[in-house]
Amino acid sequence: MSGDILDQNLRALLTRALPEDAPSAAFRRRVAVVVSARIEHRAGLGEAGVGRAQALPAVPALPALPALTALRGPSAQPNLAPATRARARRLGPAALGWGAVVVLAAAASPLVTGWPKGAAEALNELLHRGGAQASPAGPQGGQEGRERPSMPPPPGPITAEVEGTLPAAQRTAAETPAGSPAPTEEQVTPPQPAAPAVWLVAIDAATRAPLSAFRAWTKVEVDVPEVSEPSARELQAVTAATPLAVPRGRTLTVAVEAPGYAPWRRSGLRANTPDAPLLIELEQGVPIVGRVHDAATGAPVAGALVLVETALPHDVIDVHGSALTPLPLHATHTDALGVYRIDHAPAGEVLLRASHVGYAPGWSATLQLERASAEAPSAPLELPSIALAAGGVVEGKVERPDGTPFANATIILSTMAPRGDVGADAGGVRARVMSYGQAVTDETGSYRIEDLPQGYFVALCLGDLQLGGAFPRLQQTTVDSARVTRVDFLADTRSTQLSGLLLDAAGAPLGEVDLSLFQVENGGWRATRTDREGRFLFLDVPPGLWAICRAAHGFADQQVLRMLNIEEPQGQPRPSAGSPTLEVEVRIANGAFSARTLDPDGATLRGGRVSLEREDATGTLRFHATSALDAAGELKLAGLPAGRYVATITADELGLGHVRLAPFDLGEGAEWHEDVRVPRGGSLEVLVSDAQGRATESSFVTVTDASGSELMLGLDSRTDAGGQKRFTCLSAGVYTIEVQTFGGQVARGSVEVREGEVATLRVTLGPR
Amino acid sequence: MLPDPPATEHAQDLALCQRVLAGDRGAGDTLVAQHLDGVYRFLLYRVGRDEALAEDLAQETLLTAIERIGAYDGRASLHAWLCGIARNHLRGGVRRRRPTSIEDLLAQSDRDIDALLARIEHEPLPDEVLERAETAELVGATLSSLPPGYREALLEKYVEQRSVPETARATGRNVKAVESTLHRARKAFTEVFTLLARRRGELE
Repeated sequence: MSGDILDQNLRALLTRALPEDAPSAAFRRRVAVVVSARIEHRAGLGEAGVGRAQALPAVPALPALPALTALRGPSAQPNLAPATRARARRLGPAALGWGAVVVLAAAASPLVTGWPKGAAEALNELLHRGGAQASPAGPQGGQEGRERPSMPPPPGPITAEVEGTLPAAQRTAAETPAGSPAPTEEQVTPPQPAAPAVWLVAIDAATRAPLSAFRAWTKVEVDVPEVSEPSARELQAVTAATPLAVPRGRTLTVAVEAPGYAPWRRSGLRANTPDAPLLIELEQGVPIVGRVHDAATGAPVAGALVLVETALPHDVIDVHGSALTPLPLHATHTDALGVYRIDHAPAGEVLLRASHVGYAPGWSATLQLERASAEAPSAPLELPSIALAAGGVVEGKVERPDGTPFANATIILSTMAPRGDVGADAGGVRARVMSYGQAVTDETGSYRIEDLPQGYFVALCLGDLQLGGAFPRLQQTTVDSARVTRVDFLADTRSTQLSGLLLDAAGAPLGEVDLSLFQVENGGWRATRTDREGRFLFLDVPPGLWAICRAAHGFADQQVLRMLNIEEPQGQPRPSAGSPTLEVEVRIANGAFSARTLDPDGATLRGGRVSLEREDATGTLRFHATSALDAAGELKLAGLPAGRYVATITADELGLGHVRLAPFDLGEGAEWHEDVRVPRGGSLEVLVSDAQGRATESSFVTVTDASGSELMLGLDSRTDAGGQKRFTCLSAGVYTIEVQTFGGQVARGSVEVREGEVATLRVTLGPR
Repeated sequence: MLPDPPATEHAQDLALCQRVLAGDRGAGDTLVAQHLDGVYRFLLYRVGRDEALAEDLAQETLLTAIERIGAYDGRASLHAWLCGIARNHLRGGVRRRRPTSIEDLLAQSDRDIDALLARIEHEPLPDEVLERAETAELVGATLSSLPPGYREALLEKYVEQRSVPETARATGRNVKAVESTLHRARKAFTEVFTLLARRRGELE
């Protein structure tokens, strides 16, 4: 009986209440394309069968962004000389380190053609010296080819050796995009798994039809220490697309252009496991016209380059735009009447940039372009005219310590702050095009760079690139319109070679470990890897306080192993002789700290970051190490020496606050574990303006909690163009905020952050 | 747990895996034709009917499967194996966005409707219940939880109204196997449907 009722009901349900839930035919077709290509690639046919995908020249390795910590004790720099401390303070948090990375990342882009020949290579070489490629010139170097040079002769001068923390300048740290999964594990080298790849599949957004011809650029983003594959390719056919290998967990910028479509660009794309296809939906875009005029006379500017900056596949462009060859689809020149026309501008928020020799680049306001309907293509949209004004000038001299001029040094000035305000807070496209100008010093050591836009710049001195350059020196400066700013450099060529041996707790050499060397005063840094015998070498280390750190997770995780104070070598440097060598032995201890993170309801979290401070002999807490989840999904820091530690757990990527735990004593070789419940957090918004009420860009904002501990949360501690800096996910509590401008002005305030709320603090800087 | 489909189907699954391993381009079409719909539907009802998300996850699932195809040993059906991968992707996604179970994702419940639906074995369903969107959603969610063979068997029987011998002839299988599949499909559908209706309606 019940069987009959059931049959009757089943029939009724399946005939009358069967939902339409099949995937669309377009989706099926798309997946079939992607899946078939993937199967073919997996079987090794992909590479061989392509032929049409042509690789552009390989990109030199990009430097990693150092990730020293986020958190440190109240008095973190007692071991520094007063002058050093003052300098570190003045420079602000890691500004130079970060600036260098930005500049270098840009320099390494294969898409920028205007950089001086050899600059990118020289920079990379310099930053990665001490690695396998840094064989010194000379007979023994020549013999070994590109092998690691044998360990150099006995110790040179070493004056002081201190354990401890890194000062403010080192806290670039927290600015590293957190949570990058481990590319490899430290000891185990698995049988070379295929790197994850990104597949680019372009379709017409309206018809969903695959497009057979498009050009694509990809660029692995700044947090990458090495790019082994060419990272830019020209792809011609969808189904034959070669997958672009991307180191696991790294992020990509991808830009695509196809004739008849608006350019497409996304940043921060992640290559997932396994290979992820990236579906690019191209739209026809919006035709636009506009004018470019001289700000002073109102006359039209003919031959000005106009481009849609928000759609650029580049992260950097010279002030005149002359490095853009060939001209991308979304760029054009003005005609004799100063009029330009772009047929396929991307819909949505855009920022246009115009440039011409004799002027600083000019930008449009942020414009919202409406998508034209397919049935009724609209007439070109007329946009407000862009004004070009006279630019700022930077000039200066490069001299040796003895006062003689240094000729043929290459100087590059780059803006650090992203320009424009396009959807910056809404997570939308943010204009990230960086402008730069460059010059080479003449025989008097002088240089001059013109047509710079107003703003905040990093000046980079590369030495003589013909002679292989020198360790890059950086300074920051602000540029004002129609004003000359002076930036001089000291060509300091006196340096030391640092040769070392990395050992584990038992005294056995540790091979194949990533190490970084940080210059404590200004955030300069370099990376290397120990060889199989645990040896490492850093060439050309200038005098100063340095920290040798162990790095992991693509340099996102760092642990201070040893501090070194390197003094200037005695006697006159002789160009023919090599630098003196300093031998160091670095031993990793065997204590460990691990934590299990729980969400506010007590459920286990898979996320977060732990940072440790360690008490030194004077009882001062110093930054010691930071780590995100390891490959096993554990929050663990191993290799710790015995001592008293304070751990801080953050989980802001999970939208939670932070916890600073009570101090604990770790015995020799002991392991300490904590279960940490991470509370919900609130947000803090700091708005900085000057005495006249104008928003102050690029001020450094530091946050100190009620116990006096300073926190670094987020990628960049500087205020944006609106004078704003936002900290998400602070635990509830009262915080002291200190704002420091590059010019040295300081202001403080305090504010209470409540759970789930956004607290706002307005800070007004006093008159100069 | 639901019983696995018969072993003969796994032989087909293994053959398909061999073709994938060999890099046979046509294997992609077969994989999509045979498995995309099932995986997509499985995901669709577990992401609150967010079609775009279900599409993303379905594609990721198939690509993961290709990557790890060597690990498929034929002990479970390929569909079940794929759903396992899909579930992992779902967990990854759920951690970020949607900490809910399938019944929480079903549309707003109506206690009275669910009380009636929960009794499909015992009382005929009235017309007004059959017209409700909640009913259709429950049917879809239930079918998405069953092996695709069960869905086919049920549709053959109740929608196409084919007899067991007819189905057997059309599919080249023996009558006993078809009958047994249908029996299991009917039982599984009823169990899952009743369970989901009870949970959604928060009925005892």
